[in-house]
Amino acid sequence: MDKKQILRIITPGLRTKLSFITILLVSVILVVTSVVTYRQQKNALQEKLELEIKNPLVYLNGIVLELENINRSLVLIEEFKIRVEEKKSELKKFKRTVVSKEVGFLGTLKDLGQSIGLAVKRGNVYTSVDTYYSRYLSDKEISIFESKIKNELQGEAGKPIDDINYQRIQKIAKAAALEKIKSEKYKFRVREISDLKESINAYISDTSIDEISKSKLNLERDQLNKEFIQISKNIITSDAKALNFESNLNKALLNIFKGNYKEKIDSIGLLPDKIRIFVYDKHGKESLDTASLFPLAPETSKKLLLREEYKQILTDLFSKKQIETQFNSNSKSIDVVGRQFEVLTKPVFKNPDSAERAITLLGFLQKEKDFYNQYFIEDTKIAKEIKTLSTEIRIRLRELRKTGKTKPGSDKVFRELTEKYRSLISKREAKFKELLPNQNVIAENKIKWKEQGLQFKKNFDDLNAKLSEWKLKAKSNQKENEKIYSIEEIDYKIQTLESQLEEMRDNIALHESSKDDWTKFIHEMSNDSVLYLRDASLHDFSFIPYKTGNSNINKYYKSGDERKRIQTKYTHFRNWVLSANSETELPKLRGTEIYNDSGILVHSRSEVEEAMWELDGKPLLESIEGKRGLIFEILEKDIIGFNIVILDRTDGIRQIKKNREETMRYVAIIGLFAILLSFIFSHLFVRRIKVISKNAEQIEKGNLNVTFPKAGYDEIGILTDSLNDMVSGLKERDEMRGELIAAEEIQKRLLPEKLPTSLSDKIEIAAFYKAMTGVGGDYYDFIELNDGKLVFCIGDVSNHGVGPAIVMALFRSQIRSIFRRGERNLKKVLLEANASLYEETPDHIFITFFLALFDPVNSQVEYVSAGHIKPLYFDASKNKIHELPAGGLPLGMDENSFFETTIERRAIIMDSSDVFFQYTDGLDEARSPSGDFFTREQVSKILLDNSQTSVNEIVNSFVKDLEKHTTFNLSQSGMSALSDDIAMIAIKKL
Amino acid sequence: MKVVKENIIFLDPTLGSLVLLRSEIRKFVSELVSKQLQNRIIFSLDEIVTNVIEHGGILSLDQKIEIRILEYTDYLCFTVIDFGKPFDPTKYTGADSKQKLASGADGGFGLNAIKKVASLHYTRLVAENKNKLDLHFRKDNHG
Repeated sequence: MDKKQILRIITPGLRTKLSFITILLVSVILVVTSVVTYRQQKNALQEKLELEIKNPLVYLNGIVLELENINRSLVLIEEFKIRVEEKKSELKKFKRTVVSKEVGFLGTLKDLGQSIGLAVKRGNVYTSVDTYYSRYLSDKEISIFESKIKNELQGEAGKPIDDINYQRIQKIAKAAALEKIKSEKYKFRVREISDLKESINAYISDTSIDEISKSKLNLERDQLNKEFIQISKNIITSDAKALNFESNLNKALLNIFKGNYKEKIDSIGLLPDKIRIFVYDKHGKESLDTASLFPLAPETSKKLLLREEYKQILTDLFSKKQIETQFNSNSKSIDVVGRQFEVLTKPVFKNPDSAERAITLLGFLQKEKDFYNQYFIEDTKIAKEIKTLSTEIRIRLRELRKTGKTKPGSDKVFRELTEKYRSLISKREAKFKELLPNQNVIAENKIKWKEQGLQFKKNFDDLNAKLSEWKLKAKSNQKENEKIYSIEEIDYKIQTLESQLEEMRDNIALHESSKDDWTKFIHEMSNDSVLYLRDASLHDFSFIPYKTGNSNINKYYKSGDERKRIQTKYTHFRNWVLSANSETELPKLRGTEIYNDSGILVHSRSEVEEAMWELDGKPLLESIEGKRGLIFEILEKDIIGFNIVILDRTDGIRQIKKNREETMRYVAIIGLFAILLSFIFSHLFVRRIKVISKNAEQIEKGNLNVTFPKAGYDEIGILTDSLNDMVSGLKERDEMRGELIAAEEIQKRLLPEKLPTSLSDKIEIAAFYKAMTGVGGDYYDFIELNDGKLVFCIGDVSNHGVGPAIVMALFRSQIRSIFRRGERNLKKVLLEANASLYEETPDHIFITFFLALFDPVNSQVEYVSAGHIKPLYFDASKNKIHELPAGGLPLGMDENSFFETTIERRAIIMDSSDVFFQYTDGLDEARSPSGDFFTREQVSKILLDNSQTSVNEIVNSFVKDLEKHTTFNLSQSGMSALSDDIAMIAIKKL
Repeated sequence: MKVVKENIIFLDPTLGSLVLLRSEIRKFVSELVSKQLQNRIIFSLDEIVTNVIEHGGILSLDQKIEIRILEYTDYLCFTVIDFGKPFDPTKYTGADSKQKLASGADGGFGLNAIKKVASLHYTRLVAENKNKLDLHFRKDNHG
């Protein structure tokens, strides 16, 4: 067995390869299908669950906000009560006593008595009246606020809270309020101590003070330090207590609302066995667990809550650092003993109007980091100016408060300062409008909206026109040339068009209503956030809303009118703050109550003013990476806690896995079937190829009597036909090769077997012939004539192959027969040969021919040339090579009438040692491997160099130099690899 | 007379450039005239240019031989312009062949053959020191 056969056995065949490819393909399909399906189903499940938790989550967020509001309000009410008591005495000094005459029935009676001369006099009545500075929240206002809050405290089925329960929560709220006030006072004292310490330090560093005073001051400073430490501890304690009381209050409130919440959560379809929601405040205290509302529901995630991964989520969420940064929702999957849980954490913000704006802007800036950079630079500058201005206003207010006579709104200096403030706010707005980087985007959005509207309108009109057309068809007779429709068809068409028209009408209405809808346009919303975030935040600070949730901001984004209204309200509110005419009463706008939907104003104008300075005096964004700027501060203040949603996705995931396994099973069955089919098909395929392969092996062995069986019209069929054609071609070529060999044999025989020797005493003769591959067209001959003369000739038939070889053979015979006939005139010989060649051979076959006749008597060489190369002649007397004239038209190219004009008989007398040399163009045009010709100059040189030697040696020299030039072995008999035949003859006169 | 097509060739005054001459003429006339006339044209031009190269006494390779080929409606005109010594082939009466045979001298027969198939017109361009020879072949020349 040879190597090839062994390789054939061990190398996998087509069947194996095809089966392997099929397996590979099936595996890839299997993997891709299962991955894609798994992903799709997982996404579908995710979407389904998200949809399921959406409503409960919104509701729970509402609960959290509501609880926060009520908690805050209850504590505020108690705070107000305490403060009012305290402030009553504090603000007493700002009250004014008004003296008026006694009024009423008694006063009138006294007046009457006086008029009739009685000794009675109407007395003076002294009343204490509030001034601007003495005005704070009244008992009445607090009581209205309290009753509103009390009304909201409703239990299951709207049952109002009983007095015992209310007193209990009131007590907790009061405790929280007391701790808050305490903490505030401590903080105030801390600031005082800091100021005092600074003053003492300044005194101590003064060198003019004596040592006794210094030691006194030092002692005082030490005492302040001790107090500072004690108060700092007190602050922590009070804050912690306040937090604790607030938390207890939250729990107490939750107990009140529990029944109410449970009913609601139940009605919005929360699946307690699949979804569990925890509500945490921002300090990590749990305020609600849906599992506690549904005691019968299984404790879905009991084991999960004990897992380290879950605990880590909580730790991360409530560590200080995380709270500052977690403004976005997050989710994590946790596997608990074969059950799959998804833990979602979502932040809860208390003031949606400001929080939503901040989140929108932050989201936009995360994508387009440098978008508002230019404006933010201006904003920072203006904020700085406002900060400086607000200090001036604060000082002025302090001065006014000292005297308590003029209210700020009536003070000229204050008014000038606030005017400056107003102009800075206007400047900031104008800067934003000037630097607005997305004007084009907004304009484009408007154009697109308009274009879509026009398109809808056009579609509507088109449909309407079609409908009218069909309605007309239904009424009138149809034209002869048109397609005829049945009444049913027309009715159906009309109905379809009507429903399309209805749909289009809805689209138009929907489109019209979306005219000012910003919810899909982030650029508009971001711009709004930049402009109104401060106003929204100020509003959130000042009011406790009646209604919680995102509905207000959603309405704001959707409606242009609403935006206009809210923006007017913001401006009006700022004006109220800046005009400083009243501390607690909000003015109406052109007689309308524009703050009706705002909620309860829970801060005095002065407090709001402080907050406004704080908001306006801080840059909106300082660094997005460093999370510095007002946007971040607002979010940090607004975050009140987190919702942690635990989704039990086990069933869904199991179903997905089951589906995947089922898919895999089906794909595997199909795959196996595919492999089997591929094996069968490849078997059939290979069987046909094997037959071809066997036959091909026969051809390889030289057996051309092989027929490939017909194999249809596919690629193998085509291959079989081609192979059959190839075999017949090979057969023909084989036969032709035989013919060629025969032709070569004939050609060889045409050349003289041996050179003539009859004139060996007078001349030396040598010749050389080398054929190229195949049958050549060169020829030379020597003919000994009976009169002692010698004819020698050399010729080159155009083209190569069997045809020209036959022409040459015939031509040789003709020349010989003409001379045998006795003709000695060389021109006539050529004319006769030309006549028959011109007549009998095709146009492309002609012969360049040189014919010469040597006369031994006078050593004359008479010659004629028919387009052949000029012969070379070595003149021994001059030791010089001459190029003898030749010319003439090649034989067979033109008719004799023209041919004879081109032929010239010439003669030359040979002297002793002269050499006559003639050759075919194969010699001077022989190429070297680099493609260079041997050249006629080289031929002349070799002839000259060897002219003193015998003609055989001359020829041998040519052969040697030629071998060197072509690198072919020309001395060897048989055919060569030359590109053309070479023939040469040399005659030397002895 | 309207010129249908034209071409100009510049040849080095060496025998090697005859290959280019033959192929350019063949390219130009192959579609225009019979195979026989093609051969005659090539033969004639070959003879003329060979004469110029071999006997014109051109000394420099820069003295190119200019061949202008013009096709008219009925005939083809070949103009050979060279820097060779003045020679008017139309005045060449033909040598005594017997004399030539004995002496072995070269030339003459080619010109006679050319005159048989083409009409020749010679001009000496004195100012430029050039020979100008026009050869006219009728397109219907079949011998």
